[in-house]
Amino acid sequence: MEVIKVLSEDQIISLKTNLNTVQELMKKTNDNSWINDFFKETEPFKKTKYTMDNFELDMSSENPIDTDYINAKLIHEHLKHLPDSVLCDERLWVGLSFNKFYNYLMYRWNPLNEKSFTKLEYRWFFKFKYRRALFFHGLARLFWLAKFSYNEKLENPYELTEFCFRHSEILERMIFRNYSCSSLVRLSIISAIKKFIEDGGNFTHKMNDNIMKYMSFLGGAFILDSFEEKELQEKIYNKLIQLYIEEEPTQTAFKL
Amino acid sequence: MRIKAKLYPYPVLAPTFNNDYVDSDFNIEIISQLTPNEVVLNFVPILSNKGLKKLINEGKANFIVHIECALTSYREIIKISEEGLTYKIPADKIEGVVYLCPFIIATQDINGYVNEKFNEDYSNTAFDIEKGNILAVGQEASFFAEKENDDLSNVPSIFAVTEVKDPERKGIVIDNTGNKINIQLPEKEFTQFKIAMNNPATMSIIHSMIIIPALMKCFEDLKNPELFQQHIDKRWARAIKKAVKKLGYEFDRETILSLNSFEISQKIMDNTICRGIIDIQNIAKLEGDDE
Repeated sequence: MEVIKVLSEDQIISLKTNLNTVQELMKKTNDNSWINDFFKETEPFKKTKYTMDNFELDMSSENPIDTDYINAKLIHEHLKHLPDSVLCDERLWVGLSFNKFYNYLMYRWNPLNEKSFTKLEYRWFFKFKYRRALFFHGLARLFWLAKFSYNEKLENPYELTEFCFRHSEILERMIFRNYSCSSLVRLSIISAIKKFIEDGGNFTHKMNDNIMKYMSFLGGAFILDSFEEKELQEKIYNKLIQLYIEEEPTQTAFKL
Repeated sequence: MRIKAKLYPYPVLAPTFNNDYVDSDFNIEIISQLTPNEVVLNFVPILSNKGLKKLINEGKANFIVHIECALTSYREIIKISEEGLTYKIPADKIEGVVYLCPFIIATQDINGYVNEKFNEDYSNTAFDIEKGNILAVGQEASFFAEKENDDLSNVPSIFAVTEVKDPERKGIVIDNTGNKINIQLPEKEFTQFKIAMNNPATMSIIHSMIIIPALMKCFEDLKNPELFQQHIDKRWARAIKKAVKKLGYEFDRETILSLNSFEISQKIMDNTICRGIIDIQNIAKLEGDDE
């Protein structure tokens, strides 16, 4: 077990105020040791009352994006015991980024070859306000994408997570809609799409957009959370078939 | 979920934005109380419409409150009985704005639904209602969940004074785009600032030089309607709101516009400039004595 360490809000503001210097220091040093000099402290990371198992993220693939699913699973498995209010906190994620998972962030979101600060701002810090930032930050996004697709009722609770990393457009479109806050709604959508594909359907980007719009429409007249998971899943599945038939009238996978 | 005025394909009792029903009323009164470990919510339904009451008594409809905190992705629907309900949310499940929306929803399909208080436009039309359909919409409520005991550290100040590690940068920059007011100082001045802040004799002088102009900039920003909307949920804006209210003012745009930014900033900081002048005199006197 190790104590989770974070950076304070003022330290994060200080790093963000000096992005140019931060990037230069990152270029000059192979590890995160420059942070001590930056803050003129021997231990800039602050201990919290929270602990986690000692674990490392996978950096084995030449193509870092291929490690996303396994790392999402790892990070979710080891941090899911923390309170949600902490898991939304920039200090946690920035603290982990510049300390324990510095090498991973360099591997997955290396900001050093950029003329701008885009990766540094969006993937190492919280750039956006509210929930949006959670799905951009290099570590937070892994955790929250896993949390959003984790289904403890399944034999493999990460079955839908794996599916979502293969079809990243589903959660990418869903997470910015309010109904995605409901695990019932989220899991019903993902499960219905998975079943639709398994049954031979061709799930296109257009269908993805349309099914998300359909959910917003449905949420206008119904309280989505009042449905049983099976009922909602069925409604979505039927809509997917309708959309598919409209898009590909010659399809043979589903009977009219 | 936020309540918006919208059209439904059947009559919905929504006294705040439509007149689909006459002589009827619906709301769920919500009282929230924040404690360090939980938020206690008290719900009391108010309904004056016989037809809807009958549906509830027959188990065909329910009072519910939809609770949502977008930041932590917390979302629940709570079924409320006619007598009301007390419900507790653990404090670590929510953060920031939490919205509460009261509804009456159908718990099963209701074919041929009519209500004697339908607006006459609907005359005696009957409607087929599906399970989950919204039958009545109350008034949205919200509260701000901000922990007094922060989970990751102590409660932070609304000011962050940071060093700009760029020798080319001259002058002070005030950045209030985040939750804190970030006062950026060049390297040399930052070092001096840290020394001065540790000396009680110079604290008022530093506040006068740095905090007062930062507060003035914030007040000037709040006078701009667009910036007012952008800043209003930020922690520094909420702290200023509290301070302004403590001084006996309202915190709406009209009042802000009528306030003199310099005067109100001084009041919030308890006339630190006057104290700073006295401190300068005292320092000068001490230095004179040393000589």
